Amino acid sequence: MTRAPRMILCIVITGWACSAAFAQGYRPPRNAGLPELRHAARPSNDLATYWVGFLFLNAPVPQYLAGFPPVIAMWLFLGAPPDPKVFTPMAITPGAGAREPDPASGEIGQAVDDALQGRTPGPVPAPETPSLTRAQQDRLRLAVLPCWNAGVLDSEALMTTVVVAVSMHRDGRPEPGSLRLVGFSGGSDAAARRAFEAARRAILRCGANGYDLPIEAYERWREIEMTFNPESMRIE
Amino acid sequence: MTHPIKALLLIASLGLAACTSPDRFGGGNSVDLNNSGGLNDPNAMGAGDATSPSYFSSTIGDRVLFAVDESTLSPEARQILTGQASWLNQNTAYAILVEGHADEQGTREYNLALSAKRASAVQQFLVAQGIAGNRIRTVPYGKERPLEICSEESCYAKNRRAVTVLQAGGTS
Amino acid sequence: MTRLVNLVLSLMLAATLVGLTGAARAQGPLRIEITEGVIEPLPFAAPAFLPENAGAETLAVQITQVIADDLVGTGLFREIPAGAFISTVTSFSSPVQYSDWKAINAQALITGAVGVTSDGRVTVKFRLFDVFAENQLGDGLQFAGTTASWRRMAHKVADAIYQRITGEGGYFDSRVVFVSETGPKNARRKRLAIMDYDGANVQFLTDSSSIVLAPRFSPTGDRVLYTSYETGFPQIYLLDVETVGTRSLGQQTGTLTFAPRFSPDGSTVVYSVSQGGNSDIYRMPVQGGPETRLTSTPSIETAPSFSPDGGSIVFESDRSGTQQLYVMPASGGEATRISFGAGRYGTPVWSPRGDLIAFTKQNKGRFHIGVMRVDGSEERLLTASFLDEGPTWSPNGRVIMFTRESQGASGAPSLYSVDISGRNLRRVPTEGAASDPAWSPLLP
Repeated sequence: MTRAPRMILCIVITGWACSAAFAQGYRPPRNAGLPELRHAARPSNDLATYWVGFLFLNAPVPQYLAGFPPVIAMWLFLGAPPDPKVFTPMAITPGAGAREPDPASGEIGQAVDDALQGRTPGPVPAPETPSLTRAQQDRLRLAVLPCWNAGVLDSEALMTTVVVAVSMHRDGRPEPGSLRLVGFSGGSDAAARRAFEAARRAILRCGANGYDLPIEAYERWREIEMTFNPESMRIE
Repeated sequence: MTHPIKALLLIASLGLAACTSPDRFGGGNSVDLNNSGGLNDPNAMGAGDATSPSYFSSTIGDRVLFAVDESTLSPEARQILTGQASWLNQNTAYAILVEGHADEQGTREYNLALSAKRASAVQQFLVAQGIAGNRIRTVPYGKERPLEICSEESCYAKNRRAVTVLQAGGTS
Repeated sequence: MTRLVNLVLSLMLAATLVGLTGAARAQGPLRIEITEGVIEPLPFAAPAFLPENAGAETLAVQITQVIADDLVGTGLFREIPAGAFISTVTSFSSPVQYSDWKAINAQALITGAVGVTSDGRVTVKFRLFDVFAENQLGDGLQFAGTTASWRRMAHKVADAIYQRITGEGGYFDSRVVFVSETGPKNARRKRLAIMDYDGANVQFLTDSSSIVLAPRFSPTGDRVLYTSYETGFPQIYLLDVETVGTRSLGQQTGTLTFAPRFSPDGSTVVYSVSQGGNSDIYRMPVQGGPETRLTSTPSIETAPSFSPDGGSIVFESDRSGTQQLYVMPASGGEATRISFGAGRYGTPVWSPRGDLIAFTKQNKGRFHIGVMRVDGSEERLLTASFLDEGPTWSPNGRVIMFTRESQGASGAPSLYSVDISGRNLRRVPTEGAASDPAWSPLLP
């Protein structure tokens, strides 16, 4: 073997390995990015102070501010505290327990990256693991359906199909921390986040007592990807 | 009776309120047509007097009716208006306010515009009959002041109307 | 040596690959697709906000109630009664017992606290939780204001919650100007009134000495255009909400003007003028100045409404023989007909989001409130009754308020709202009869 073909082989194998790892749900550590400043703050203006509140509601507190008391955090964040003339909204840092990261935020960008890279579909299961029958899959689908509530989704979220990955316990219960958005189409990031939240509620609520899945096929349903397509749920 | 005397009588019997505001309906409590203080009030003067406003409203006829969504004058309406015109040509002490009305079967803005068209149709007819244009003003009421209050065609038919209201201050 | 390194490296990679695919074979995700769900109100729990000091107890309960009422009123949420609660929230900062809220199927949990300071200021703070995902939705938020404005603070909290869950801007911290009516059907007395969107805090803006019609808010919500018979003839007036001062919009005596509406930038008013029985559409600067005539046809042109970008005007005209909707450039010019269904169309209003036009439709003796796309496609009727008319949009373009008049000699108008899906038809509480609502933008 000459050096050149060996190098090529190495590159090919590395690429293969990486895509296989991605297919299994491996994700490189993500950047704790700064929240997007969507509304410019105009101090000494009631309207502005209100929008500041909106900003905080929408955006996660950056990690570098998490330890500061709220007023200082906001001051650092915005430059100056708003004029408390009429309404003074301000962010409240979470009490007691540490702030839980919103699983939705950040995952969106990841999902976009995945989509751009073209997700490799998982290999065919080994013959020793029994597959789920059509009836068993239907039963799972029917079990999630009554908890998927499109009632609070806005029109854009109702245009957004989301793919949600979930890891399952052996007793058929979804692991709450495992739910993540692995792909979406048809709407903006924000719409996908809302659609994901509704899908997440559906999986967790209806699975609170465990889904009826065959234990002998556990390896087959240990990881599930559910696609929520709201096409038929749109207004007229 | 000469015109000045007639005019004096008019002012004496009715006061000035009706002269300054053509809005007979807008005024707080006294919005009932039968008690509105308008010159067409039959109680104001003897109906027997052919020159009295009550004669105008009850015998000549002070209103014409319209078909649904129409502002064209029917033959009956033309007949009544011809009578109004000849009376007005003889009794020149009065100015006229033509009120247009619509039934409740329509949107507010459209009915306002439609009733303006009805009032205007009457105004134009009267002008064509020789009444001076500056004696006549029009006001559209849309569906704001129905005469009859039921929600049936029998009431609607009476509400689709243009009423010629006599006012003091006509030029002679 | 180099060869050896290469070999080892290749073998390591190959081994990794085998291990990964082996694992993947066992764990390849099961894929299912869900294409149906349910549409139902989202159940939430809003335990009474905690008073942070003595004297805040009553206000805390009242504020919680207004927030819950706002959310329930959308039809998108359902409140779980406090009697069903397992957990009691004893501190604003203590951790949430998610299992207790899951057990009663509370999908969203709202906690909050209210404090009152000695100088008459109130602070309201709240948090919103996704119970089943066991996390907080967004950050908590705090509002401060005067005790007199406590309802507005409650509305702002509810707006924030609505926005966070549905993704749409809220509409609770807004007001409605309308015509309050008293007296019998043939002698109605009308006066302008203003209230919170939910019917609270009613104030009268005019007395009932003249007929008043169809008030319309300025884009900033501080001024109102309306039609009054103050001079005996319908004419347009401008009213300052704060001072309740009014002025006539420059026009000659005797001109019949009506159906005014602001442009989106608040600088221009578009309206109808009736001359010689013919109604056409005009525009003029609100500050006064020359009128510009936008239509000149012998038919009825009225009820103009600007698009949110200010570039177009939708209006009604019977130039085709029946009342229909048309769109023209805001400077006038050729109009395009957009309504083609059976019946008559009137009172078009462009949605604040720009995507829809709401209208009144009359067909076969019934009245409907409907919406269509701005090109007239996808017409959808939302209501049907003896007489529905005069739609006005909520600030977020999701809800429409309108006048519904009941039939017969004792018939009277009241205000109703419906969302643009046609669901959640509700009567807006008013004391006595009410008509011609106009919804303000969200308050600053």
